[in-house]
Amino acid sequence: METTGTETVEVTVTSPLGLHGRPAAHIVKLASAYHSVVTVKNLASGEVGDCRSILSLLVLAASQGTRLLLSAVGDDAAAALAEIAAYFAAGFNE
Amino acid sequence: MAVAQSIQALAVSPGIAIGHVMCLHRLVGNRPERRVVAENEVPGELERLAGALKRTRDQITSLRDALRGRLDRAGTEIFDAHLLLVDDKALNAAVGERIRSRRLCAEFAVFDAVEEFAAVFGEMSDEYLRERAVDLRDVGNRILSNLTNAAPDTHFSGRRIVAAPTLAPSDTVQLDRSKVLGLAVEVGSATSHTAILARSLRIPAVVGVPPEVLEQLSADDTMIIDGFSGKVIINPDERTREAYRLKAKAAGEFLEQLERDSALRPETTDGFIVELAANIDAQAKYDEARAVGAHGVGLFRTEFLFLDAASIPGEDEQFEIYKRLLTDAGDDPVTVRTMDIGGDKSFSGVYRSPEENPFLGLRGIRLSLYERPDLFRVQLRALLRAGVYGNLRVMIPMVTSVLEVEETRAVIAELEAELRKDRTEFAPLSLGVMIETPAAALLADKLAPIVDFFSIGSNDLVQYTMAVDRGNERVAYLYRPTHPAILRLIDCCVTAAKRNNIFVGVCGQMAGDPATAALLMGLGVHELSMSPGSVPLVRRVIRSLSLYEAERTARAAMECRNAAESLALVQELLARRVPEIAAL
Repeated sequence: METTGTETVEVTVTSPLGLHGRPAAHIVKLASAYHSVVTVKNLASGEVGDCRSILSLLVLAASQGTRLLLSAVGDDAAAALAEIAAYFAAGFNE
Repeated sequence: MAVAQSIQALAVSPGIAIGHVMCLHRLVGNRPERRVVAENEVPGELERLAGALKRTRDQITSLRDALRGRLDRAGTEIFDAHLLLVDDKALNAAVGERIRSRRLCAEFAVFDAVEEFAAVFGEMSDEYLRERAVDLRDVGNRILSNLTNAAPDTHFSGRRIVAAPTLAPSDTVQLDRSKVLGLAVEVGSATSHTAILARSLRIPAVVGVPPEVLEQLSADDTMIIDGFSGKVIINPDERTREAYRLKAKAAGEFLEQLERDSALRPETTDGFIVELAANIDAQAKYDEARAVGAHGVGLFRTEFLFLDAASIPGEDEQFEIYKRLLTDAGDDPVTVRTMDIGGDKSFSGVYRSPEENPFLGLRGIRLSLYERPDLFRVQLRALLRAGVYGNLRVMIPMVTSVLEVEETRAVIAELEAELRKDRTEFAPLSLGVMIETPAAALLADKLAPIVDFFSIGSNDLVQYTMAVDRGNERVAYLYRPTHPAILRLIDCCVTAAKRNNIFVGVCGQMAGDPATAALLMGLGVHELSMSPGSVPLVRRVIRSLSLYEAERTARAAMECRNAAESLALVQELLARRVPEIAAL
């Protein structure tokens, strides 16, 4: 399914370790495979990070239970969000 | 260029190295000068940055690929994360902005941007994230060294002696062993990781080189390090070099000759066998033990599995690791130590609360039973299942009481019941305790009836008996394995083991040193387990002595008043029977 425009979806960090290095690295890989620009906002702090930057993801300091808002802009925005959200839902496969 | 001089350091890995110096301290951790460049220099700085990033990327990739077979999954993922940091958009934008708008030189731009992000991590409440500052600075240092030095990092031309204030285990592993002639390090001891790795890589090494000496060194200097005597000679004259070339040749030939003996049985002159085994971890393969003729593994450390909380392997993954080792070893016994976390091995992902005195805190079996039984159960289940594939022994570290053994047995019994219910194949465990505390040694007669073997961890036994931190240079002189108190505690264990007809081995530093190995065999220890590099030397010691004379010497050593007297006794025996080793 391809759409153009901004898509958003809210996810929660379920891993006890939070959004740490390994999943952050994986998210960068996932996001880099799409054309769309995917950003993530820490709903508690308001801080925004770029899903293609491991540093900006780690700087969000998203610990277990943190709610995040994923946004994507671009022609494959929905697909990008679906895949990244699924990875959150799977608890980073831990 | 440093002045010609000779200094006494501590020998920690045998052999002699002569060659040019490679100083590692120049490359890491230095704060670059804040330099503003002219407008027209900006493109040049960006180009230099791009070149340094590319070299950094190539180095990390080749390092990761070179180590792939030797590292577990967690290890290679660390390198993957480092690669992402090199190419990170946010980091590169911050560096680029500093060069373009503020016209800072590339070095300072990298340093400043890295520090800015590192500071953000440093303020985080989560300890795991706080520690990411370390990864970031590591990557930053690598980029910096690629900017400032044409021969960056540990990639240097020609074969050299590496001189450094300290070498982390990861640094030591990263060194290209075909290019490293020897190691001269400031901080460390015979039991430090640098020393242990140098011995296993068979690189001559000395520690305790004074910092003022290291600071003077440059790449123009030549150096001799004598890994037998601990002598370090800087810019030696031609005569000294020639003398050492001859000594190096003789020592090399002797070490080679010892290695040719690897097929010979470790048998005393009066016909008793003292088994020789190897200490290995994930990074060494069983082949290394086999190459020197070791019979099995006396200590397989499993801490590497727990390095990174994010990727502690599950039961199946651990099962595969143990199964592979057992299969490689064939019929030879393989002794696996369950996770020994705590003390000097901090694993923040496994256990986080800081302790005032970690060596006397929650470590070894205490942590396994009461803090992380979840991890302990997974490990034991994997071991129970792997036991089907070879001759497995499992030992628990830091035991101080009978209760700890009983509780471990209870956990094993539960797991066996589970496995039976699941119809999963497993083999009963041969369970031993490590004797590392005076409490365990003195209680050996109560422990022996409820275990299948003893393994004496001599490094910790010496440390806990002498109440001395082996890494503290001010009191390191008290760390004396030949101390009669140590010998008496070991005698306690051997006596209890023999009375209960169980096996007793030693897997610490004492087993790999000729003098203490002779004392241990005299005390009646069945197996000596050491780093593979020490096996040939100890085989020669065993084959040169009779058990009878070793026993007499050990009995006399136990009656000495201090460590120096007992050491003199055994050295005298070695000088008579194995002069070629005593002379080293």
